[in-house]
Amino acid sequence: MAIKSHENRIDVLQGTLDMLILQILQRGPRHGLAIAQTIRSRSEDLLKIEAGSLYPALHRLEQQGWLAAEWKTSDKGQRAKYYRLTREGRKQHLAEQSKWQRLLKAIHLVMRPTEE
Amino acid sequence: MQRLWNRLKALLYRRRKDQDLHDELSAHLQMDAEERMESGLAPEEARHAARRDFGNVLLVAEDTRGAWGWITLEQLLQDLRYGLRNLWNRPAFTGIAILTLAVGIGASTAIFSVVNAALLRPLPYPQPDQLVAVHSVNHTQDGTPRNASPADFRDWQEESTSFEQMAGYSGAALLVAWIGERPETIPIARVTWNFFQTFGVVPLLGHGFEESDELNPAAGSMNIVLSHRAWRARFGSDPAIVGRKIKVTYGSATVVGVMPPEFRFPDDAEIWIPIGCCGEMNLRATRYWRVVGRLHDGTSLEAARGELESIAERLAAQYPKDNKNWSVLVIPFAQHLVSDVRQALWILMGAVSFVILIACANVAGLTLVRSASRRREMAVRLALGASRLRLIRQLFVEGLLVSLASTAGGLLLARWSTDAFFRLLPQTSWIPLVRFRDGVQLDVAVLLFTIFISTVTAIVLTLTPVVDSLKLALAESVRTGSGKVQSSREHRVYKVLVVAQLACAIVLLAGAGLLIRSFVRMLNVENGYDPRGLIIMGFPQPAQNQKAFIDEALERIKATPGVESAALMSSPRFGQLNFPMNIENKPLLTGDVVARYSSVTSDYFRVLKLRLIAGRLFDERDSAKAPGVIMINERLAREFFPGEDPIGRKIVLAYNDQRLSRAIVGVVSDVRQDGPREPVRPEVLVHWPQAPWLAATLVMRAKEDAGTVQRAVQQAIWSVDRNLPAYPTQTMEEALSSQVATPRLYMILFGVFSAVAVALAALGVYGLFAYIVGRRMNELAIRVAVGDRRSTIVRLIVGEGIRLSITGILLGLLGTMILTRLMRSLLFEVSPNDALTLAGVALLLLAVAFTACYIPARRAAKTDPVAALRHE
Repeated sequence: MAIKSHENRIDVLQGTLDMLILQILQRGPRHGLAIAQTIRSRSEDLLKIEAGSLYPALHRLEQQGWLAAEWKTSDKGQRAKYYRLTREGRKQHLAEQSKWQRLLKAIHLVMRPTEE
Repeated sequence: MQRLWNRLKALLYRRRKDQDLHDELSAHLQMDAEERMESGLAPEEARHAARRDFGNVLLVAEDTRGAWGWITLEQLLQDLRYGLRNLWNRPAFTGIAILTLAVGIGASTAIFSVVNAALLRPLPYPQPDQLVAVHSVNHTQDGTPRNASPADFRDWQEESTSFEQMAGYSGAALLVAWIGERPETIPIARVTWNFFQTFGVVPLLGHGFEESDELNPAAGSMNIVLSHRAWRARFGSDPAIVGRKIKVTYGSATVVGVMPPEFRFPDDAEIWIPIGCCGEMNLRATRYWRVVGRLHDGTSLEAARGELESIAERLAAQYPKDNKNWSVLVIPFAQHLVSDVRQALWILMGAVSFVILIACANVAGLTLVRSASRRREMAVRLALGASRLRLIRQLFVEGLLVSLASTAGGLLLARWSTDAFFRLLPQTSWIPLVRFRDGVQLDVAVLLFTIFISTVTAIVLTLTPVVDSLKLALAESVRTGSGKVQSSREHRVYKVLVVAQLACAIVLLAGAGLLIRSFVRMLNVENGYDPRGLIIMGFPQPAQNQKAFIDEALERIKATPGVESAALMSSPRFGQLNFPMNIENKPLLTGDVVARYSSVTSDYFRVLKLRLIAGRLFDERDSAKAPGVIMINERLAREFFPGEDPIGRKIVLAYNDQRLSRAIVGVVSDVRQDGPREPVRPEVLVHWPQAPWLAATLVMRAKEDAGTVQRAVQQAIWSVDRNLPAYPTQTMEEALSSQVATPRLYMILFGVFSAVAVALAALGVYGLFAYIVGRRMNELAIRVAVGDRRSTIVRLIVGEGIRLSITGILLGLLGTMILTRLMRSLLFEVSPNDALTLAGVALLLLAVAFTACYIPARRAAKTDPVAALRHE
């Protein structure tokens, strides 16, 4: 998992990277660098995904049949490997999402200020 | 399914996929750099920044490949190749490790395969748990299980309800049959008609016996059942054998069935004939039948024993003369079959597990040394980014390779050594272990055992360096380079291993020493006769005119050149028959006692060169018509006539169904009737003409070569009657040697195990000190340089070696005191804690250990200090 926590960057929770990738790819195919950049910018620089975590995760998800990959040329004329969600991947994403919502709610409940 | 397919595809397109990954990652770097250039960085700087951000490209690639799954296989192959190369490049380590473990695995597999055949594998009969052996037992005598009398058997069989079947049998007899031209003597067993049903085995051809076979052996004709072995070897597997008539001594025999090859019981029997004819069933006092029973389904052994005990109690009350104090003993049949070897086999199993322990400790020590010398390699690989898991896997693969090679070697060794094991025994079926020879094979149980042992060794082999390498702190190792920093902690594991080896070795050595001493004692046992030149030969008799034949044949045998003297006796060994006896006019309080019984011709005492202690020997006066006389041995005289003169007193013999009274005419010196471990028993001897026995054995003393004399004697017998078969012959020295064959086997096995153990322990000590000396070379060189004398260095190192050895030996002696007690039953007139033996083996091991550490110590002292220091 991405482990670079200087200043106020935070570690990505074990298992959440897969969910983040699935989330990003909701909006269409992207290549590895773009996925990393999107996560970084959308988290306002709080999350930085390292290549050493990203690529194993991408390949694992592909292996599981949740992602499909193909080589395409980018807008800038660069050839890159684009990942997109498969049908299985979408289902998985929904599942992960609802799981995440429940987890958030649970954590929120635990973490709310105690009422005197 | 999809996943599997992906993996398979990945495996097939590995190269393409590798390229693909490479392209993907370069594209990432390329695009990142370009974006950075667009934001204003110089090209060089942008590339650097992208690179820095990305991290170790190779590592990322490797981790990503890890996600493909099949990579483990790929890496494993890599590890395998690397491991093989590694082992190949260190032939000394690899050779010693494989050899050591192969010996350990081989020895333990061999012993286990015998244990498996004898003790673990179920009997080859249906529902073997229902089979029990029934013995007679007299608790007021020595309480050892005895055979049963035919009459007791019949009563047990008729009155008990616990048994589905109960059969009696009596083995170790010979049948003379004319199958071809010449008569053959064939080992047979006499069995009750339901013998085969009791075991639940159906004949391969024909049928078994019927009740009428037993009751009506019409004079001169009987039914017989062939073993598969006899059918094949003696009748050429004749498919039409059933119904064939064979000429035998007293008439003819008809083959009614052939048993399947798996059924061989009693082991040496080739033919089964019905038992219980001619009034035999009325014998109550003579106990020579063995009894096997099959319990009813659901009946417990305890219930059956309870029932038989109450029957025996009633019989004892009804026939006090013959059965007073006699009860029964019921034990599982499987246990009965191995009662004479079970303990010895478990002891051997224990001994061999010490061998494997030592082998493991030894190889673990070697591995430790090796992993210490590989620290730099490990450190470098860690620094280059190899994961720890990967290193451990690497070590595991190497351990596995060594263990696999030694398992293969061990299995070969086991195969060869079980053959050798049985070759150490004379192939006669009365030697207990020989019975199991055919059962010894590499079956599933043995293979599982071997796999278990080699897995344990593989774990030991892997764990030692892993534990060692886990302690290895990366930074420290790089700093210290080859790790030449002296630390006593480092040697501690190795030292413990060496101490353990020494301790195990002394246990085995002590066991071997005790067995050797017992064996020597056994060989020196006083037999009461001089075995040199004695020949024992089965003596055939024709069906008619036996007395005339015996007189004539004995005459010619005595006249044969090379024969000094010759006599007949009733059993193939001295005094093997048992008859209950009592003293007339002054009966023993305990009732009848069982004495050994021999019927002999008058020259018997001269042949054996026995001393006449009182009275006279048999002579012509004691003819068939004269009043019955008897001689007794010294042992009987001392036990039953203490302080009295036995000459002229009378002994009553329960001889078959009569009670015969005979006057004592002489007391003769003792002859040891059984093996050297058995005491001399009270014995009575009767004169052959007054009480000829059914079978006869010729005992003679030869002046010349036994083989020549035996052939000449055979011719002499044939010159009287050409139609007699040749009978087995043995010299007394051979017979005595096979009596001690089993103890000799145990002694040799223990000897071999302890030799291996000592050699390995010596290797362990040597290895430790060679290693310590190597590691301390600098320190030693400095010591020499500053003026320490070389002898001080040797003393320093050897002193440490001796301290270590003494620790190991003392610990081992402590264990020995406990463990040798378990082998008491294998010892003969030697205490399990025999001080001389223990001291002897301790000194021996100490000397070996001293030599093993002296060699590296001296080498260390001889090294040139300058060269040693420069080596750094």
